[in-house]
Amino acid sequence: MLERLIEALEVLVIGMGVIFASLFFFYLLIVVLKMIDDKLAKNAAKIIAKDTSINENEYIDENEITPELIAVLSAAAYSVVRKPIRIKTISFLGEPGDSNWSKIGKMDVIGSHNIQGH
Amino acid sequence: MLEFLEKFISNMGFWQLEAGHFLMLAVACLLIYLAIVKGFEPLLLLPIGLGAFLANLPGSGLLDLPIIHMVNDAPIFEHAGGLYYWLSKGIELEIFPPLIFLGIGAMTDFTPLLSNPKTFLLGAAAQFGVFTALLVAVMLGFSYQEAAAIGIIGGADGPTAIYLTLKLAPHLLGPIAVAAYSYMALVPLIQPPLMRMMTTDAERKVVMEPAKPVSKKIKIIFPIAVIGFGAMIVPPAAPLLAMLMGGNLMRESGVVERLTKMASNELINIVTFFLGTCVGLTMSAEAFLKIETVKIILLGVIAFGFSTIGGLLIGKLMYKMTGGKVNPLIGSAGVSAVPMAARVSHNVAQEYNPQNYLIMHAMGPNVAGVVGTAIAAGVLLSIFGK
Repeated sequence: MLERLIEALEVLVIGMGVIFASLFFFYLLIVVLKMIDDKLAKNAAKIIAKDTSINENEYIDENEITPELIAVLSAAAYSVVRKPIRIKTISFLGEPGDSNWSKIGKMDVIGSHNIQGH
Repeated sequence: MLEFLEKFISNMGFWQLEAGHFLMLAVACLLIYLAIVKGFEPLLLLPIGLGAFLANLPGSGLLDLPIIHMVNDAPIFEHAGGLYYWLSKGIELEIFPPLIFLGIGAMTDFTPLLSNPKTFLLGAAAQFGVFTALLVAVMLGFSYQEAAAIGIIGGADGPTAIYLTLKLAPHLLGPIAVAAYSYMALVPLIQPPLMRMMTTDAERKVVMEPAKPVSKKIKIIFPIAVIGFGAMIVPPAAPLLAMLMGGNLMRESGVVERLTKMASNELINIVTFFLGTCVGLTMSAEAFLKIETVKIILLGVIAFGFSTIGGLLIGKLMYKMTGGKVNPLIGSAGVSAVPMAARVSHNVAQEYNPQNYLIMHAMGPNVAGVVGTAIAAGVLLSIFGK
């Protein structure tokens, strides 16, 4: 009986040892993979940032009316009035140099109108 | 006319019923009751109960052997054999458990484990009950093969328990499968007292940091690495690991959505039904009504208890080593009853801190436990297999 007990204990030690070693290996593998992955992601982010960085001398006209802007405004207006929308004119309420406080104030005024009722 | 009637009546199964059959029919009804009324692992216990019911209806012929004569080298079937004689080949040839693992792999999200990989160690620690139960079973007079099959109940993984039992002690399949699935259903009753006994109030209140996202690359490399490394270190576990991780690879690759859906829906559902009924059919009165069955049921509690304790102990160690950043309650989720054990960890933690959402942290050791149990089965097969 004692011999069987000792053998069973040996199986316990070997079994738990193999399981811990195997899962510890997977733990290390994932840690290393994550480190490599993080490094690759950081490098990729740096490259993208370089490629897409805005030239400081490049002038961007904030008031330019692009097809994308018309599409966005049409979608926004449709989502509120739920009727087909045809945009005839677009005019900018603010000036490029307006302060943020001024812009927020104008938004509050616009938001206070009951658009559905008109 | 009387002659026909006499023949018809003499063929009825009633005349072959014995006391053992009645007892086993009661056991089958109990399993069906537990599945339907109590909701204990109904997906498995209901088919097992149905199979056990069928196995104890004498004269049904469901397990009849086919009778084949060879005429001019061509097989002529005198009797085709019972339906379940053929379906049971899925168990005898060890096909059903790995197929279930394919579905489990396709359904399992390993992200919680990969985002916190140290929880692998909790999945390893929770296999302690497997070997403790083996040790006690050996002391009770079971052979090493039988003891290993009984011990794997502590892994709380039904398909693995069935797979290992088929290889090492097929005559114990019925009691071991019933014990494994019954105790998996009883995890919410077995684990909480041990969790409260093993942890302090402060430990149970630990709120863990949110898990970090894991890239798709790692999610794809992980199953391949487990198949490769696992099959090398424990070759007998290769069918289980290959299917589990193969299913997961299909899921994470995102390019075989149809196959993933097939594995996680139709395939696993069909195989679960056949596996359950085939296991139930092994529960004949002669095979089940033995003193060994009672011992196996008792050893199952030991296996589950020590697995829970093993996970909690390593959880406590992690709590100390991380300066209180790991809630040791997630250790008990290392037994691979997915997701029941993780849910139990979460529920116990919420009793002490209702703002503590531990479920995703507990899923890490929970799925690690599935891998750990498959490796434990591989180790036992390597040592005791033929």
